Amino acid sequence: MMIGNGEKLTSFQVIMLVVTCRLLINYAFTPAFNLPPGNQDAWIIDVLSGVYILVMYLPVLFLSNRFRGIPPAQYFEILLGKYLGKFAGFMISLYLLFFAFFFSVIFIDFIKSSVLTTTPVYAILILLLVIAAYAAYIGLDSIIRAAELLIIFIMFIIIAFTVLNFNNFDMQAFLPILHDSNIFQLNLSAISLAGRFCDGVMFMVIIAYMDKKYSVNKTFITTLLLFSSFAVLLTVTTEAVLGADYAKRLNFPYYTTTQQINLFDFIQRIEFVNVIGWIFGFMIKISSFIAASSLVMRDTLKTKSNQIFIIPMSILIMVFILMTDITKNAVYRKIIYVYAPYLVSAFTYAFPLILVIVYFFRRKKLKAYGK
Amino acid sequence: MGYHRKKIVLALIIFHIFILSGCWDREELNTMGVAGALAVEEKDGNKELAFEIYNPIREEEGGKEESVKFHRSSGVSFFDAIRNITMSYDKKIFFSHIKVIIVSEETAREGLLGFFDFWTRQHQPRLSTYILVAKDVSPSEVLSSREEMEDSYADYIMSLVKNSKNSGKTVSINILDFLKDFYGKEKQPIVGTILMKEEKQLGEGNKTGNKLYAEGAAVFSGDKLIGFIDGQEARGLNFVTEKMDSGVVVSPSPDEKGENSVEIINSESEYDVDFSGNDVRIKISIRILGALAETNAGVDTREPEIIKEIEKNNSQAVKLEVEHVIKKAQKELKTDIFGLGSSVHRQYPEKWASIKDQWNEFFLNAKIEVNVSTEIPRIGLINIPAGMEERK
Repeated sequence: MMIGNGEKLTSFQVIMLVVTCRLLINYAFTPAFNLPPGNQDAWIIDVLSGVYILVMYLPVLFLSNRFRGIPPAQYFEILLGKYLGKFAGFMISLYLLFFAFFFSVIFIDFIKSSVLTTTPVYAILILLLVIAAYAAYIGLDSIIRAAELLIIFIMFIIIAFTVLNFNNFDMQAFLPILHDSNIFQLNLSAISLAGRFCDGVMFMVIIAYMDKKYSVNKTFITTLLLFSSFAVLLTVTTEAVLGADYAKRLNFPYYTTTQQINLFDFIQRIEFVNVIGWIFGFMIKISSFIAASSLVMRDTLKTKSNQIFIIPMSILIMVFILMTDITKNAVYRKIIYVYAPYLVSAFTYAFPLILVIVYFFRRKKLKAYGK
Repeated sequence: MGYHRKKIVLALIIFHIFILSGCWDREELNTMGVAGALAVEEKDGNKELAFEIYNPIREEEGGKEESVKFHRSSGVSFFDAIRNITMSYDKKIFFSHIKVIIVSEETAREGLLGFFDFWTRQHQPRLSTYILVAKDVSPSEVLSSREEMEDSYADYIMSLVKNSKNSGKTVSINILDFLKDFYGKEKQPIVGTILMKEEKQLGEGNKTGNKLYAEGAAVFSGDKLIGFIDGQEARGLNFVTEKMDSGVVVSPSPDEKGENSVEIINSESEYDVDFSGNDVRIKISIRILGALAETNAGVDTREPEIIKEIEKNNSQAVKLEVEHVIKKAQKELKTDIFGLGSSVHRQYPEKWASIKDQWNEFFLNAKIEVNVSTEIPRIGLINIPAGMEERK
């Protein structure tokens, strides 16, 4: 089974795609400020969450190593049997589709709140989904190649905007460190933040298509280190410029941070560059989630191609967004901060853990598959 | 067409969708009123706004139009007032270029949170906009009194605010600074003050005119104005808060026969907090780096001892200024405008957790000691002051 024109992915490509997908959440919300204690220690939550993601991902890493080169939908059937395996594959596909839908909602809210306030939702949605569906249609490998370039652009923006904002930095905003919050509270928030790492399922899907000469563990750890470093940088910049007390009151704190750039009354009002990076990043993210969802569906239903699912999936996203209240900021934020950690934990941590347990119980039988 | 070329063409087409097509949110210059300054006041429970709007059609046949125009509107809320302006003005106000907001004393006393909610909720206004309180004058009057120096009044007031660093007698605070102080709880917000003084006009005989001054600061408790400090007091405040990067301090000469003016080059402050029970002692140490800018006392500035005396007198003058503003903050304004709460927070984080809500009471009773030291490494281009030998 292939994901596009038959080429295998490199480790670098996998890293770039997962980092692009993950960083956009911090790029949009810098969520550490919205978790307790919501003070100057917010950046520590980002550092700690990296450790928890690593711990929580041990089952995924185990499965990815053990079933190297086999798409998840296939090893679900190997481990759980035909019907339960198909059901699991179907649910993972729906999970990816749900997040493609959910990120489309975030995309619309950001665009409508910050730049195109009077443009109707359907106009933004058509533009977004036509591009995303087309990208998914031509293959996940093409999206990944685009991500390779775009993540460099996004990383460049993050570093450049940090440097350009340096004159607005108030380093006193980080003091005192670890006095107004306790380690237990920070760890709980770090676990909660790790629980929002929905892009882990994407990793589980695409790692199966990575060339076997690359190490799964090294790829995952590099991904984790890279996005954790940039997530910390985003949080630190926001905190230094806006202060934690004000940042937690904003819908898009990093966007507001980029608005403050003013060097010599000359370099200013350049936040549109940030918006461009954000728009392209979200297009990559949404199209890759649709593509991954269709790939899992193809492997589950054993169809010839994943392309037949892409247009119906895109239409489904559009219909749900236009027919429901979910684009309301208050509604989708509740999902992010209250329900998302449960959903993500169930699919990303609990389900793979069950698979690992099943693997050890059925180890002898699985030898027939060479596993 | 090759596969890669097709992709490039497609990417270009998608890219041009963004940059070439029109959209619902297009803003044409002829339908926008680009505002440069905003005056905010309240009358009879209504919000009254006055805008200085840039006039894009300046030069006309047979005459010269003003570079800016003024428009007023009122409404039940700020946003209502803004939309009501379209009933009397054919353009939609564009907020992104507003450089300065002038608020009336009455509105500031009522509280600014309502205004800030509107300002930060909308996507056009910016947090970098400077805010000033108009003291003893209506903000719309401030906006409409024309000065000759700049085409736009917003630019003129902005220049006054930015140039204030040369005297240190006011503060330049933008909306983000205000909100950080407001939410931070370690320091009460302050904003710059704009005054209008009647003065004799040069070369116009006894004719008088109004002149604007960016001087002093308005002191808030939370979002409500509670009082003012004058220019000299604002300078004392700036010494404590490390905002004095320029300015001039005049002090008596060592022989008390004249004055010496020291130009401030840099000023740094350190705060040392000490708790004994519920008593707070704060030691503020200010270190000034200056240059001798002027002396009319005829002292021999080649003598290191004389320079030491000038340094000592300069330190004493600054100490008096700082002590005066601290006393005013403790006894009259009854609020921490210096941000000493943040030093307590950093040095005694555990203690701060229990006293942060009552910090103001602690501040009022705090024993604050001020130490100032001055260093004058440079005396300018002359070493024998004018007239020194003749005076002997």
